Amino acid sequence: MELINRKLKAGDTVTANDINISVPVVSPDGVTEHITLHPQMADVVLTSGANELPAKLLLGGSLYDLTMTINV
Amino acid sequence: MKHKLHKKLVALQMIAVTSLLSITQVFAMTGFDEVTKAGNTGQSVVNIEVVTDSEEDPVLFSAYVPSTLPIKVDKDGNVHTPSNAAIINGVSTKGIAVTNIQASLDNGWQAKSWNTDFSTLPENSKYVGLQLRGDTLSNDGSFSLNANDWKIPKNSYIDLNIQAKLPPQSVNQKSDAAVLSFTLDWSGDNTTTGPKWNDISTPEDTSGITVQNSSTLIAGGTSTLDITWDSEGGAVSLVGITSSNEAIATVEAASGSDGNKSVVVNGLRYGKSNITVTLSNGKSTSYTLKVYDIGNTDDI
Repeated sequence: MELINRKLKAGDTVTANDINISVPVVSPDGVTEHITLHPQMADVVLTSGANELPAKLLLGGSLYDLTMTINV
Repeated sequence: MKHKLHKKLVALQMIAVTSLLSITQVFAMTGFDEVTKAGNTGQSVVNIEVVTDSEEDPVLFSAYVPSTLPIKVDKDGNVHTPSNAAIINGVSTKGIAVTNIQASLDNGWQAKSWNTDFSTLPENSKYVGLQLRGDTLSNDGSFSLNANDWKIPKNSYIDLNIQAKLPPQSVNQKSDAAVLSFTLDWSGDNTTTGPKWNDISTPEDTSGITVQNSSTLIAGGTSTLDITWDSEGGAVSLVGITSSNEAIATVEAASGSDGNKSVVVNGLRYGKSNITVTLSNGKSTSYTLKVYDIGNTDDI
């Protein structure tokens, strides 16, 4: 999981496009590859301290719940 | 009479080992027994035979089995097995055969007869039923093989057609369930020929049709195939899109205009399916659609 803009500060807005999630997938050839996805989440305005960001990740037609924490 | 002795190095038998978990594909390379993943094991038994006069050249035994076989069961009780598990004969001049398969169950798993009603077994219990090429696993870990169904032509392969049954599962778990030992020997048919594994002799595609997948298709999900061709001013239209294995992938109706169509494909289970696109001028192309499985989520 990667936060694209690492210089965020209180008052900045984090959107789904700011977060990359690398997911391992296995091809029918048996090779593990990684795909990069953005989570599904509402925009969040950061505050000082720990910011919990609830999100969902769509994988293979199923939605998975995620909770990310950004410390500012 | 003077006898001359020739030492012949003959691999008479190979035992290869397959474990039931994640799959790693093997590739046919004549003369090599390839183990493709660290920690997995391939074995070959080599016999040295001393014979009297013979000019016959020794032939190296070469076969490949999947190093691992993944079986997944979801909480709805659907069991998913790989569609591309095969045993490959790497010998270009002789047929070989699988003569025995023995399962060594591990980590508390027990073999259960294929005819068992697995839905009535205790939830989360570690029983597994297996079927390979229609032959089933017995409670003692052995398989009763139909010998004629396990002969592998020279330089060819046979699909394992693996099927599995498990009791209802409600708790996430992942473990090696068994090691399958395949015993192979030269008792195959030396005259029969068959398809080559990953045959690269496919003729060049001159259809003028391009098929591109917009994203990685994961089992349970969908993606879109973009199909383009020269419609010659609308004279050449799309007449069909089919999936060779609708247990793995299905196609929806195409949308768009002649020369540029999109079609949604549904990935139903892990594996490959050939998507064949046919135009009104008789030209067609085939696109190998891969349906991926989710890997180890601990690595996210």
